Amino acid sequence: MVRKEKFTPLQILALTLFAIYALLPLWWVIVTIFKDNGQLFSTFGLWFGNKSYLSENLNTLFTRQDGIFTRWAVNSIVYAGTTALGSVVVSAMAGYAFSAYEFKGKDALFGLILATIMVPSTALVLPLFLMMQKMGLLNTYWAVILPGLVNPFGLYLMRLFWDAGFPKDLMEAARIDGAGEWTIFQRLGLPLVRGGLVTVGLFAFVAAWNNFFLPLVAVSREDLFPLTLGLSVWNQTSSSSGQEPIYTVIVLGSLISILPLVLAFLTLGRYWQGGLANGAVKG
Amino acid sequence: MKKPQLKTALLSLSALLFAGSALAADPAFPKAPAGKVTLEVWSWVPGLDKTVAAFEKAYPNIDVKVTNLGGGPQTYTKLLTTLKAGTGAPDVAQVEYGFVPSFVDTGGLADLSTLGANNYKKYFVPWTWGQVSPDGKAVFAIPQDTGPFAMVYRDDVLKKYGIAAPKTWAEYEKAAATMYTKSGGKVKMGNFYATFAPWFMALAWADGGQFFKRDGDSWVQTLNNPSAKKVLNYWYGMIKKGHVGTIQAFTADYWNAAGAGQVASNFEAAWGPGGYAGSMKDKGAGLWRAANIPQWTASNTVKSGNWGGSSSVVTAQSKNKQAALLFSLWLNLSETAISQNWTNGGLFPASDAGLDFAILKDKTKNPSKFFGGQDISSVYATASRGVNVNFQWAPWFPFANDNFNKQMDLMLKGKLTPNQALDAWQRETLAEAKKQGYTAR
Repeated sequence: MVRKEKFTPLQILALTLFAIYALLPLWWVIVTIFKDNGQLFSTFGLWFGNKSYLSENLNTLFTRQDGIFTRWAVNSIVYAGTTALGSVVVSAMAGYAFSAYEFKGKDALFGLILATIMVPSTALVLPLFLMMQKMGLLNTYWAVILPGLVNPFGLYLMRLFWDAGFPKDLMEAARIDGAGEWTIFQRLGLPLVRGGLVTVGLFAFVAAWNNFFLPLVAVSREDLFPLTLGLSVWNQTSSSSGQEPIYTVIVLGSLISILPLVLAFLTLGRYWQGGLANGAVKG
Repeated sequence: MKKPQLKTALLSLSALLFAGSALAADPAFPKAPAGKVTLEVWSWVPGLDKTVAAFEKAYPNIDVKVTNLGGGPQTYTKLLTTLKAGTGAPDVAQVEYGFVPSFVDTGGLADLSTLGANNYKKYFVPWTWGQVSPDGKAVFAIPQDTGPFAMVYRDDVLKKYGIAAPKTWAEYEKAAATMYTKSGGKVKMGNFYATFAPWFMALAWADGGQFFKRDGDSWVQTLNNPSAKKVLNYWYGMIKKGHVGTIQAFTADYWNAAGAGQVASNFEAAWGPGGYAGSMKDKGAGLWRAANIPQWTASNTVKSGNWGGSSSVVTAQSKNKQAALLFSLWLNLSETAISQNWTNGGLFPASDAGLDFAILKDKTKNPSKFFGGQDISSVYATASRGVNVNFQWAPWFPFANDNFNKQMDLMLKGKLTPNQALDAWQRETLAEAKKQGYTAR
């Protein structure tokens, strides 16, 4: 039962102001995708110009460099999708192991894994680069996907979810009934931590979708770029000398590039909220 | 001191002869390697993928793979990572002049003098060679594009206020005062770019200012050199009186003001006019002109400075350095490549002969079209040939670049005098250089 709140006018005013503040950049983005580069600099930023250039912008976006934008979008989906899925599997299994089993050095190992959250990712770039070079993985999809599968924060979250959502009595009972360890994990356990899986998956998806530094270092072929890197390259070229600037096209590309994230949050947000609250209360 | 002068004279003579011969053929490039070779190239030169097709046609056994990373900090981070890792670097990479020293310091760049690069020195505008070969022996890059300084101005606005394009800084200062009075302060003669150190440095460069110098294993830094102080005090005087503006470069504010004729002139690198045409479109189109930058003392020889431009480096990791050098030379000396680089990306060549190519002077196309059909490339060619040859950068220049903005901000707020601002710039940057482990004074 949701209680109906009565807001004072002052609160409404404050909330409205904040909403405007939060939505203004998005409004600017929407207005901008209707402009060409000339209008971008010569017309008022928060209102439309006298002529719409949306179709021209769309056309440029999808045909520039033989339509490489589509390729980048596909790459982003592959990178983020695979990373999210793989990271959910790894985190769920490892989190389960830490939650359900007792083994020697468990606390020390868990502490070590938590500690790696603190290592800034920039510090890992050089060793990562060298490892991938040795394994011949540079300029492959794996170079971007593999490092993302190792997700200590996801593991930590999943352990919390297992601790809170999967009673050890249930596991004992299942064992007595003769269920194997894999069946217990997969059939009995996983459905109980669905919120956790979605949460970790979403986190991993967003992180991989927005990842910039890793693909920057790991891939040097434009057909392997994700959207983040590709758009940033366009942005750089746009501001470099003598180039026809295509800022409004880049804004349009950026808007399109966040649509999957918006979609993911709208469809999976329900699980996510519940999951977070779970973790917060019971963790 | 006599010898270098003679050398320079001979050089410019040979350059003159070279430029003089009609339809001069490309210089003789080094021989291509016999076997099949693949070169990896990182560059943000627009349309380079198409330009290399011509190279591959001329050298069928060399396959060139171009990766465009857009330039800027991210490209350098990537290049630096591969150089430090000792693996994964491309054969050829585009690096701006100001960043060459920091890459030299990693030891990751090939010394091209061992491959005969010095034989090609004569084909480049002298100052560009100084940028890639500071000690005159080792060569760490092949010059590519340049940004010599010229004055751009609104012919209609100057005429309206009865001002002739100033030829000296004294005339410029007077023009700024006249325009201020006659327009009631609405129109400014010029604009000071307070957030672009290289813009300011180019003006001091034109006066012979020196900011960094390698001295054996150590460095001498003089950000507060006499030329810098002279230039900054000059501008600050006009800023304080309101005779010139301080609108930030490349912002909507600037384009609007310039498009509306409220900024009557400015000092822009050779790549600047293309940006004017692209950003202002029809506003003020055809009304702009270009002229030599004013001189401190009236003279027929033009002294100028430079802002921007880049070079092609060959990495020490490259397994095909000879082919990489060949490609770098072809990219920056062949008429095919220079023409394409100009058409596709407005790259103003470092090649001396390239400065006179007809394609740069096409009046029906931008930037000349935006400048009323004036052959502005000739103005910039004169500027480039007048850029002081001795000018060096230091590996910690990126810090100096950022710190400059802070000092200018304090100066514009009236918290520092121009001299104090430059002294602070010198002091804080020197401290940073030492912190980074450089022996500098």
